[in-house]
Amino acid sequence: MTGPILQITDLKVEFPGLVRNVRALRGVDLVLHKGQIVGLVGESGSGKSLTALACLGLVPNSGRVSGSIMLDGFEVVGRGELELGRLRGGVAAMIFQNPMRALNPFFTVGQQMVEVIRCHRPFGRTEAVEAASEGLRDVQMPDPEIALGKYPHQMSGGQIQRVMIALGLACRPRLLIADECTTALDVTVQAQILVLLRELTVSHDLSVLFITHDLSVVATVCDRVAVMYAGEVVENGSVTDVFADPLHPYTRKLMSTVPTLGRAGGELESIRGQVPDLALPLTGCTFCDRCDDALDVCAATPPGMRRYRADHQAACHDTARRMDVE
Amino acid sequence: MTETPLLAVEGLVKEFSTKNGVVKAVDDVTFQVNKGETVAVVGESGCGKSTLAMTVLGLETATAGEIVVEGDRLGDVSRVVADRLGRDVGIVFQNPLSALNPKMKVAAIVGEPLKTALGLRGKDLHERVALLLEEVGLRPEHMRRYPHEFSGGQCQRICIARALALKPKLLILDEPTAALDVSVQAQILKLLNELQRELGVSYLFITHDLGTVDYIADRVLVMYLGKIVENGPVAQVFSAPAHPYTRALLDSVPTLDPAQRGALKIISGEVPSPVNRPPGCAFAPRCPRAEGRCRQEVPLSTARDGIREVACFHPLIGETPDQRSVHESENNLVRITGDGR
Repeated sequence: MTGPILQITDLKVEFPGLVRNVRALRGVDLVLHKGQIVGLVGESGSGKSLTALACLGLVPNSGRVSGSIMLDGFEVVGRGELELGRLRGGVAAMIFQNPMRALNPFFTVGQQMVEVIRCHRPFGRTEAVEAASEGLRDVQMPDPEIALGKYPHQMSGGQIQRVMIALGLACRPRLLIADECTTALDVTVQAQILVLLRELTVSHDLSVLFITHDLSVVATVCDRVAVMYAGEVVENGSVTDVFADPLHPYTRKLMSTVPTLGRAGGELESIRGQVPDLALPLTGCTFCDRCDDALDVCAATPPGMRRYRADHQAACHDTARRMDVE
Repeated sequence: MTETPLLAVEGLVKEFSTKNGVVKAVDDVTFQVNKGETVAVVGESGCGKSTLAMTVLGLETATAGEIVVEGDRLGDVSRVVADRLGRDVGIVFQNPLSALNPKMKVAAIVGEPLKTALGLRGKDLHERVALLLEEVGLRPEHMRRYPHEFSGGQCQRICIARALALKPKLLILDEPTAALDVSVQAQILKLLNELQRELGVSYLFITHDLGTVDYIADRVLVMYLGKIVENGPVAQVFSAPAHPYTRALLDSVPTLDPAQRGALKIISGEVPSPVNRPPGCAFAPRCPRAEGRCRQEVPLSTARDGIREVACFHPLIGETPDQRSVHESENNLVRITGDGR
């Protein structure tokens, strides 16, 4: 556990608009240590995927990025395409949400894997094919040699997601960014992929940034979790701390809205109101309109991130007040 | 239980012929939905949940079997009855944005069934649409807007309003919350519960999310490769699943408690291809309890009111000797009677 593999400091992304600019990320801080799986949760539009794209320098051209992203000691922000190209796949790889759309339907799985491997490693064709089938074996694909000759449409959702993971890991990256990689899958297959990811962090010395909106998946697979709301991280900490005692009201609300097994008959809570428009200037806490515990100060001053436990931080005025009283 | 069920499905079979052979998407399915009841259908993708829904709706013609809505058979009935059946069953699809015509305003979308089926026009139509929108938690002024001006949750509310326009007795909900955020999902599930209390409508709720089933449904049907493998009240099925597949499904659901992460169990393998269905029990190749008999004979299951059914030779409950003899004497049907019976 030496040094973080990924350190994001005050990351801001702004998209120019006709009337106002949309401030999609408004100062994200995130640290990912080696060998850890960190979950990034939040609703759609909270900036989870954009954070992931920024880590690989994939923010759309119109977006203005500022802040710092240190990826394995390498500053990503402001680099040119050539340097980023070596980074993508080699140091950090990404798995996208819809595996069917991420692969080219005109080429076999083998052709696509070999192409990626030969981009990053000094392999000939035969060696690359061998590496590809080894990669598929690592993700427990039955009959890897047969799978290499198949087209994406000939595979099931679970198999194709395994291909995506194998493809992501083909060039031995240090960091894997998994963007909702189990959302499209059935629970049984999801469980298989989650267990596989946990095994791979050990066997491949891999760190994973796991983006999802499913809190129960985070509880199952992650070591640490960061909760995003309206382009900011509002709470982060170890999974045990955050789930045992969530400090931000948004995290608490999110947890009570999940229909879980064994809670039959109990009423579900829902969060009133809408996510704020990120094009409008925001004063104070972004969540205060929807918060049941909002104080007067919440609408005026944005709450800063505060450390409450060794590895547990949250940005909330109410929590700060309560903890100070204690 | 003397009252006729709202929906009775008997021995329903739906086959599709493909160039690789005949696919039995729904294979001898029998179940009932009573008035005001929510029945959930769960299973992995490809198990036939959606085909079942489409067949019940009449969008697909059944290969064999009967679908009876309030005593009237679907299919070979006169046009008048068919029209009435069409009104009795409504549907809400998975992706609200693709289910709404982007070129139509909300007033036209929700009003269309009222216009074509009931012939409502002008002020009557307007008032009825406004009322429907209020019912699903939208405001009358939303009528003048287009679908793209709404969020995913609001679009799903519009779909629900449209489905409710003809006062159906049965609403088929095909993964209505799968495309939504958890906080929005909670709002929609609450809305559905409220609507059911007010209108007494029955739901056939198709989903792969077991947590949602626990929240919303009274009974659950577990499907595997076109067959119902377990059927019973949600509380009983989830607290003591009898079919190994149900157990496996429940075990693969992640929980909110990080301390329980070790409890996540995985079943090996994948759902077999429906073209190449294994002989015997379809779950046998992945089942930890499978024996020789499971690989040769298909375990049967029969529907009876108020009783749980399992299609399995070696169910997880009923292991005691006396119950074993029951299941052998009753032609593979294991009935596990509910609490207090």
